[in-house]
Amino acid sequence: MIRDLLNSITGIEIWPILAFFIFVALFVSVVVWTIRLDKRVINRMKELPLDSENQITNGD
Amino acid sequence: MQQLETFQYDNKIVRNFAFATILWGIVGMLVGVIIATELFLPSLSLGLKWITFSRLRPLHTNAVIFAFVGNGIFMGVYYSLQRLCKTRMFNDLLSKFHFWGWQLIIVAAALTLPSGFTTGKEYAELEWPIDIAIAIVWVAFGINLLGTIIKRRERHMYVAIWFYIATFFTVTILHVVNSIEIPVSFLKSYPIYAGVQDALVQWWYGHNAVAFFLTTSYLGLMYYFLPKAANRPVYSYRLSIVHFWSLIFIYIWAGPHHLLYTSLPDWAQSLGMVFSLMLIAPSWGGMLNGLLTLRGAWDKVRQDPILKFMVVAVTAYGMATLEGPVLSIKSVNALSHYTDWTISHVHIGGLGWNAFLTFGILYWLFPRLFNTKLYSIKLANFHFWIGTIGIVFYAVSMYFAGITQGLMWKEFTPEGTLQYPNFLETVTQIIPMYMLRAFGGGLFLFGAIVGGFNLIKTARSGSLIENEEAQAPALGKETGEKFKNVYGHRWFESRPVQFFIFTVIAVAIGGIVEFIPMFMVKSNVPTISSVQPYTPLELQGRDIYVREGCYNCHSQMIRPFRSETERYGEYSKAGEFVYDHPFQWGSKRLGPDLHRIGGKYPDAWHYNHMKDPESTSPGSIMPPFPWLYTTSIDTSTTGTKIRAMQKLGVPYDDGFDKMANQNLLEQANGIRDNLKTAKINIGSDKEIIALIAYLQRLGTDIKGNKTARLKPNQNSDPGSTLGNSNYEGKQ
Repeated sequence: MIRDLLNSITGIEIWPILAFFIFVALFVSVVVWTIRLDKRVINRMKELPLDSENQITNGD
Repeated sequence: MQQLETFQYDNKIVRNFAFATILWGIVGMLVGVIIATELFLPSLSLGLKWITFSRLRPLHTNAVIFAFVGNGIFMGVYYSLQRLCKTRMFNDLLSKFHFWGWQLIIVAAALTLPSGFTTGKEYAELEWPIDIAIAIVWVAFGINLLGTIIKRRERHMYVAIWFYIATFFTVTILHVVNSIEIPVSFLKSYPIYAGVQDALVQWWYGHNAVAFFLTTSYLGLMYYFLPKAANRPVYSYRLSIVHFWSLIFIYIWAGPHHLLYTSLPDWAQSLGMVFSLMLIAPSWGGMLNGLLTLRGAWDKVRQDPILKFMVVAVTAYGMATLEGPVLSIKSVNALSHYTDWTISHVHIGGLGWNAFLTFGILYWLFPRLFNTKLYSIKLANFHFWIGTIGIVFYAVSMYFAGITQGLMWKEFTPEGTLQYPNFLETVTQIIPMYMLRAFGGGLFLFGAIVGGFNLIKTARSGSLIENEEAQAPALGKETGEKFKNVYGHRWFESRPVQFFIFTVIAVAIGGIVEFIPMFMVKSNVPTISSVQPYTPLELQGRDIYVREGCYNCHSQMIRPFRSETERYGEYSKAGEFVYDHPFQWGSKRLGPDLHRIGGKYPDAWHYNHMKDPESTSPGSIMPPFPWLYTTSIDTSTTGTKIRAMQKLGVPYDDGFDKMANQNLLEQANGIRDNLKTAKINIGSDKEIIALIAYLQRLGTDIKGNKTARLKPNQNSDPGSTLGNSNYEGKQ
């Protein structure tokens, strides 16, 4: 079967599993990062689009 | 507090891109309505090659993706980036170069695609000189983008900017890798990849063009313009961080879901499916973040057409990103693939998400750019409703058509034969749906024209603030550093270069995994000894097949299902496509699959069919191709084409390029004589002869040679066992 085409590559079956774990690791670290973020930073970031309205801005 | 600096935002460039968005949007949608009408009224093409369905369909897709949405992206980015960075664009000249360069590329596309200059790869049809121009203009945009970020006065990079960075980088890579081709003339080239490998690269590109051109860029716009329109901050900034990283990381892996049940290795298909399913999480995180931004503001949504457009856009994003993963489940894909279900899916995304968000942004932007009020809120509301009704007509009719046709293809009688052995029966059944679709598309187009009128009236009632003055403190080393505990994501947000590098890594991991099968496949495709290179006449015929865009309606990939092997013959093998530069598997069956068409009908049948499809297939919706009977084969290119193929590794004998035309003539004379016996008189130099030669060759290499042997090092691979299929797949 053509579906077994790449099975001759040693260890290829571990590839999808590895991929999944890489993703989980990335996902968990991003979540941990964001949870630990300072609330004031978050609020500052959130307001960024709003304080750049068509007006003269004065920064912080 | 530091001293304030005064500077000016460049609004002129935003206005230019905005007008281009409106113009190309209407043009692209108009072409869409024309081709939708041609499907139930084939005579609409008037026998003119330039407006035949198969040549116009690429123009429609390219126009709405790269001209309409493309200009929409640039409009939104140039407006929001300046304000988020509190600075003017990096370089005005680059902005102008970007604008005019992009418009010239669009004009080049509008001229070349209907003229038949195409690479034959979906959404990447533009030929090599235009590909190079795209790369140059896109990189100019990237330099302008990154330059602006670097000279910003705001330390933090808002989430919208991250999406812009990811868009720029990934689209660059996609475009370059998928466009590597060998030119054979000024407007003709062959991709260096062949068959399975070309398919993998193409759908890695095709899928991620949707992901990174149509999605991440517009998510950036959503994160900026939705809070602006609602006048409240995004619901959860934390969620937007998770949304960004998980989305760009996962998206790039999901390409193989376009190739389920094809000759692509099974594990790569599974990988594509699993990652597609995982995509639901970040996509819905982003959608909910958008919708929840409007919490407590729903009363505004009832009155404000801008918010109405945006709410439907975000909802359509949610629907499309739920449906996409569902369609990636192999058993669902077995039914949906090649049908109008996919067409419905992409239009939920295109009309709902992209177009509606664009309209919302345009309506928000124009009064601000021109320092005036919207000309007519009533007309904007009318646009919203007629557009929404248009989407409903479009989507419902296409779901119905897709599922009906998919089921009809798979229907068996109790005796075990196909219930609808004639493909045409499954087409005529859904013609009323094609009419409803064109009607829905027409409504949507009409809405867009009304919208364009409203916006131009708005522009005329005010005057453009070309350079809008603003003030902000310069970005000193410690400006704004009020917070301690600088770690994690905070660190990135103030460091664009590092941020860029990490984005590259996140995207590259998936890309590399996708490429491994690509390169491995090349050395692992079992060579079938009976599969030979095309003859010169067949090669010329194949190029005509590509030029006319036959792949827009006909696949060349028989999946291993009983319903397909019964209808078309032996299922397709990877080894059969090793000389196909480009691959022509197609993605939609408006007509039947053609992989085993060779030898199925006599030459005379093809001759009559292409001249007047209804003469052989009453009720056919295929357009006629009369110019193939009057145009001569361009034999001056034969030698060059053979040499190009040799460079790509196709094993023609040395010096064959010099004898190629003689070989071509002999085969053409044979077909001419054959046609004569059916009382058809035509010169052997006509293009139809070459096309017949190609069609009669298709899929025949393994037919008469069931004992074909594999090369010794491949004989352990059961996938290349030839002979009749006993694999019936999931039905």
